[in-house]
Amino acid sequence: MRPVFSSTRQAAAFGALLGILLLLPVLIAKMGWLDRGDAYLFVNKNAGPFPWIYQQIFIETNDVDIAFVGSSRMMTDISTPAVKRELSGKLHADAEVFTIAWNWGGYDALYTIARDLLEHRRVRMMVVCDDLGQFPHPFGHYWLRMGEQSDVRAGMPLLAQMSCYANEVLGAPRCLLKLVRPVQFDSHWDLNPFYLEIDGANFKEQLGSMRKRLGIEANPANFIPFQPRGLATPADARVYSPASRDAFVFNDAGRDEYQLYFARKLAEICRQHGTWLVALYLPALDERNQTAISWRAPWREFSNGSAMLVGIPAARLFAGISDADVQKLFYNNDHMNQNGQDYFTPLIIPALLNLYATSTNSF
Amino acid sequence: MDAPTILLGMAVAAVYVALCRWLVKKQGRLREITFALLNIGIVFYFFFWDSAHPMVSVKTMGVYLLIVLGQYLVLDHFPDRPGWISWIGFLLPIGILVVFRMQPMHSLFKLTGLSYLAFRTSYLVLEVRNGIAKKPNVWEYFGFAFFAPTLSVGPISPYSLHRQAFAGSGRSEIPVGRALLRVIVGMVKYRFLGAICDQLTYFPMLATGQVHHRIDVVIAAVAYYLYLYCNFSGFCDIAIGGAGLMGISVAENFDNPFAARNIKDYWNRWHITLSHYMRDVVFSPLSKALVRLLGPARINHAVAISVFVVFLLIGVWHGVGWKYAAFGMAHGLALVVNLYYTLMLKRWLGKDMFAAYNRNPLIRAVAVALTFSYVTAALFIFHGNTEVIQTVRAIFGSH
Repeated sequence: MRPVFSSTRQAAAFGALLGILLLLPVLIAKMGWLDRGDAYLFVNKNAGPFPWIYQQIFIETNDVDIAFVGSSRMMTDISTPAVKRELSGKLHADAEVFTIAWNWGGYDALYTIARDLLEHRRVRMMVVCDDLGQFPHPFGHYWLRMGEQSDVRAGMPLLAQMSCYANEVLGAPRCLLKLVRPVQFDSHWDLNPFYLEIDGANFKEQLGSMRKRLGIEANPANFIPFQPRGLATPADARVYSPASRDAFVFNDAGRDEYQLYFARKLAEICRQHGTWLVALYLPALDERNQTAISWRAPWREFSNGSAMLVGIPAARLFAGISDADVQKLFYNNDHMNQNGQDYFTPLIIPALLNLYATSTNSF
Repeated sequence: MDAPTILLGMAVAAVYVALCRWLVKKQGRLREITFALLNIGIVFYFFFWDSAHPMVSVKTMGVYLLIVLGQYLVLDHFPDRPGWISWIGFLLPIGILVVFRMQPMHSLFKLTGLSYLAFRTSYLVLEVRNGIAKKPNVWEYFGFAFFAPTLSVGPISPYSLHRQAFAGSGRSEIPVGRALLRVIVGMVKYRFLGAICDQLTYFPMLATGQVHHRIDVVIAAVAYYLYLYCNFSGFCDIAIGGAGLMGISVAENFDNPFAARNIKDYWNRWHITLSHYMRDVVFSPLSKALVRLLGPARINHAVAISVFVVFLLIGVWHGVGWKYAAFGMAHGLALVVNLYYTLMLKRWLGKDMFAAYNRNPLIRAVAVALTFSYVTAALFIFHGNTEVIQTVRAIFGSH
């Protein structure tokens, strides 16, 4: 077996290469030539509609009435145009409502992107969901960059900081692209086939949400347009309070200190920017018989009462609908399809608008 | 994978390596049986065991063992027979590979490493026929066929080299430090450098729906080549180093391919064991047959045709589909051009000038750059992702 390096010089060159790559995030941060928005323009389409997210954060400037922020479930379960219509009707003015969501959950991603939003636009109400996921987020190397949001790292355990740094190392070479060509935003991104739905709908029309015409196992052939006749009404929505405590269950399944750390930071940053934080329960298919709203992160504890929990217990939401028909509302265990979105949205809108009214005294 | 699973895997691997290292120094039939069973167990644990589907795991491994047993029985009975019958032992592993690459077998049984196992065991038949290696007993055969470090992605290491470690006092020792460093460097290349290069390859770079420039395509192309090198050679380093820790030699598979000055040189530096296999199994017999057919005066054409066929097969071996065949043809064509160019140059320059031409550093630099560019471009065909192709077309069409 020959030696792995043919000479000392080759070994030194290999070591130097590793050293440069490992220190690249620090070098790039010291150069200071990066714009925060650039991180979003390099994100691959598999991570989600990041041109849309970039547009909402860095290009649009008007105040936001309601922002739905989170993972793909936020994209699929709520019809943002429907919320906008209802709120505009209440306000007698054009409401600013949109969804910015991406693939895979994780409070670290939620915090990072929500913070970018809050630092660039005034948001009256932010709606999130129970977003536990893998830490770091699988696409964290796109938006984790040294020198940006660095204050949040200070309170993290060393191992978590190292995980974040590893993502920064992975994403650093991509940042160097700015040295060789301009980073530009394509305003016609929505016409790109990457971002068109199966039926031609796009994120701009849907205000960041998606209408998935997919049946179970995410198969378009399994999709059947369906309007269930369930027994649920908007009055079944529950907002957490001492009186409604029995409708909520907090459990430690999947509890992760890093995730909770970022969840606390999210609540903190919303408070700092005067944004009303609402945590919305989005039921999964396997939760359909649960009589209480199950929440994995102990939201109430660490939000110090400034975040509102709202949802409809799954058993109530799907009451009067057979198991076979409930299946027609989802395209996999966690995501509703177009049928589910059309069924769930009108049932939860009144509760969301009541919270909006409470937070803003606007109607 | 969570940390406990990774740690358990590392502990199992360490125990496996230590046991193999101890075993190769022993003698006797019990050594061969233990070595074979140990490797079969490790292969089952790392490549086939799925706790969610235990019966499927066991069934798949059972099929694999039966295939290898069948190959051994044919090897044991046919190599000394006269005529074409002796070639059954060589053709059987290749035939099994072809069958299991096609549907529905490919869907029913995911036999990790079948390709490399087919090459290694078919080559073993040639080594036995040509007297390079003694015919193995069944345990030696299984120990070689299921040798865990080289099962999944090679190298296609010859049986004769593998057996040197078991030779007793005649074998050469592999320094442990050298083998360990090889493993570490391999892991760095595979998991770190490969992951970094992957960020800049075609799909991650270009599938963003954003404005892209032509230089993005160049960067993606180069990054893809680097990614494949780090990924493949890194894994081979781990395999070679891991085997080295056991005291077992494995053939080298890469030799700084970026320094290749022409496509022929490239294939002596990239996936070397595949080149050697195809040279011995396809090129040599085919070129000899063509020379007999076309006559000695047309030896160059015989070589050219043989080379083209070899690389068409190499392309198709990588996968089913037009892009793999086109990839093979691109390399075959480049080799044929290189062959005739070299012949023409030799004739034109004469022996001394041709030697000076080869020594010239500027010419060498240009040749290396051209070879690098050609390999990079050919890999675009290999990549062949439809969305990427459309994006690249749009980038070049819009300027």
